[in-house]
Amino acid sequence: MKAVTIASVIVGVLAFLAVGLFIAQGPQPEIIVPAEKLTAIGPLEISNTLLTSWIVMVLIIAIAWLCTRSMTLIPGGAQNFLEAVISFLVGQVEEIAGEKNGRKFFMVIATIFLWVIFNNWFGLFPFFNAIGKTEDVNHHILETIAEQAHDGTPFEKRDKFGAWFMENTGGITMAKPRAKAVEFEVQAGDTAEVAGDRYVVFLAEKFTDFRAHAEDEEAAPTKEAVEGAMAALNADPKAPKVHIAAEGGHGEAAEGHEPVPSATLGAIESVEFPGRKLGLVIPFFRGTFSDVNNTLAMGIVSFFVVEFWGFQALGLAYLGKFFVAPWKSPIMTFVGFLELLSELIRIISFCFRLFGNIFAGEVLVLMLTFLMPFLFVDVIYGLELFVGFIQAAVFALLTLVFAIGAVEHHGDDDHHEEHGAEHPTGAVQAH
Amino acid sequence: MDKAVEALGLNLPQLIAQVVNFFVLLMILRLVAYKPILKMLDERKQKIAEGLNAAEIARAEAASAQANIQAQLDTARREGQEIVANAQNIATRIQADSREQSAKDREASIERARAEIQQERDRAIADLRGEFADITVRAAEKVINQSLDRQAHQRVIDETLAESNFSGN
Repeated sequence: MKAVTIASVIVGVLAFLAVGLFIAQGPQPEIIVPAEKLTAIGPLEISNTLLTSWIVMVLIIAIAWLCTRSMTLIPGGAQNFLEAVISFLVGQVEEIAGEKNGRKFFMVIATIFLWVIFNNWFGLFPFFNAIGKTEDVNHHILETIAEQAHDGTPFEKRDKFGAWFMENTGGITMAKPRAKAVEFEVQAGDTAEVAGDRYVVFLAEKFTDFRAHAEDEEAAPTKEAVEGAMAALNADPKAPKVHIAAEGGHGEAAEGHEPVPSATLGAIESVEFPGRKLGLVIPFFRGTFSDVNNTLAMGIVSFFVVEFWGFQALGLAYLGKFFVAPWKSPIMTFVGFLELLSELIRIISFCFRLFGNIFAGEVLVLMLTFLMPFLFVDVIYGLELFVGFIQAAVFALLTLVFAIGAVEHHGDDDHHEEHGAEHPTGAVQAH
Repeated sequence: MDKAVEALGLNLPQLIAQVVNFFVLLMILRLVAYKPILKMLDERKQKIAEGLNAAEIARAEAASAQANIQAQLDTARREGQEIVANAQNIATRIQADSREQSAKDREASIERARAEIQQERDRAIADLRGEFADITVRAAEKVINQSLDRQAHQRVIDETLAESNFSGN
């Protein structure tokens, strides 16, 4: 009986996985580290992470406002919820920092905690990294090569352009399940002409049965390979058609970029896609802290508030922690220097701890929706909830601990004063 | 460094925007969440402390009132007992008095009765004596047929009676 149960559970799980794999498999993820740009207002580029952070901000404020709109002494419903959260945070902060400092630190620490945890958990919604505007990768590639040709310099480093085969490019869309990713690469040192050749060969290899048989991937494609690729592309009615610019040169191409030079073909004016196209979904939403800008901003905020509290509590004496005259104590001079360094390094560690965890989590979720949809993803979602909470707690608590360290008196003189001050109170208590 | 910055997508405007975001959020939350809620929490804490204090006072008052009542009850009970005891004493005394009185009365009435009886008897004896003297005189007259003067007779009779030792007692 028991064996039957186990067997049926295993079969059920496998069936579940199989169904997921056939029906709900996600697209092969294109991992892009920098946040994708959606639009720009003046110098400020609105990336999807910034958009997400604004939405989360509005959400937090809306929740706070709704919960405190009509406060009553006997709490109920929403007010109870927010009060529980706030009083939990106050309790924790006061327990660690003491009554007086706790109240001072509380608002910033609580905001850090709420901000981080809301962003992390909000980022787990399924519409994240899935719905977005599509980018015409073909256009992007041609534009990049044209720019490089305009500059007249070779590509400095290897560059990758990820794309999915898509029916349409442009407009708002959802990442297609089971979309296969392709990557066009330019090698370091390629001139624009070589990159143009490479692109033609790449198109032929991906859209037709043509194979260039290049032994060395980094070597520029041979003339035969490019011509063969062109022939293969022209032979297949569904394959993209590469339009060669007429000699003498058009000034402006239809697609808004200059003709792309090609070593073999002269100049490519445009590429037309009668069938499938090369596109990429630029998601509207992406976890706020999967962008280094945002985690770095939080690291800087944490640094600034800690230093602010330090100066506020100790005045200029706060600097005495870091700058000790070498004739007083050479060792302390060195220690002070290390302290100063560690203050600055904290920003970096704050930044990358949060970024690493959240970015890795997003990649993991995307990867598993592609590799093993259903079941494993659920487990990872659970894990991500936990990670989101832990990272928020770590960020807030570390800031709190650093703040306590900053407002504490340091140095021998201060210790004597403290002891001196303690004795009378002790005596009073003894009485 | 530049490459790292580019690879990570670092850009200053967004960095600043995010720092600003945080402080804006901090200010707004301070306004709509932290201040009202902290105020409410403190207020409630104070209210609860006051309530507990009041309850403590009320309990103390109730306890003292209870003690008061108990004391009063005790006094009342003691007084009642005293009153009852008094009453019982009085009753006993009254009973004793009445018993004594009645005994006295009885005694007196017996005494009176006895005196009356004595008087009655004395009178009866005196009557009887008078009667008896007459009878005796008549009888003696008849016996001796002598006419005697009455005073001499009386004297003889008294002597006789004295000799006969007949008395009322």
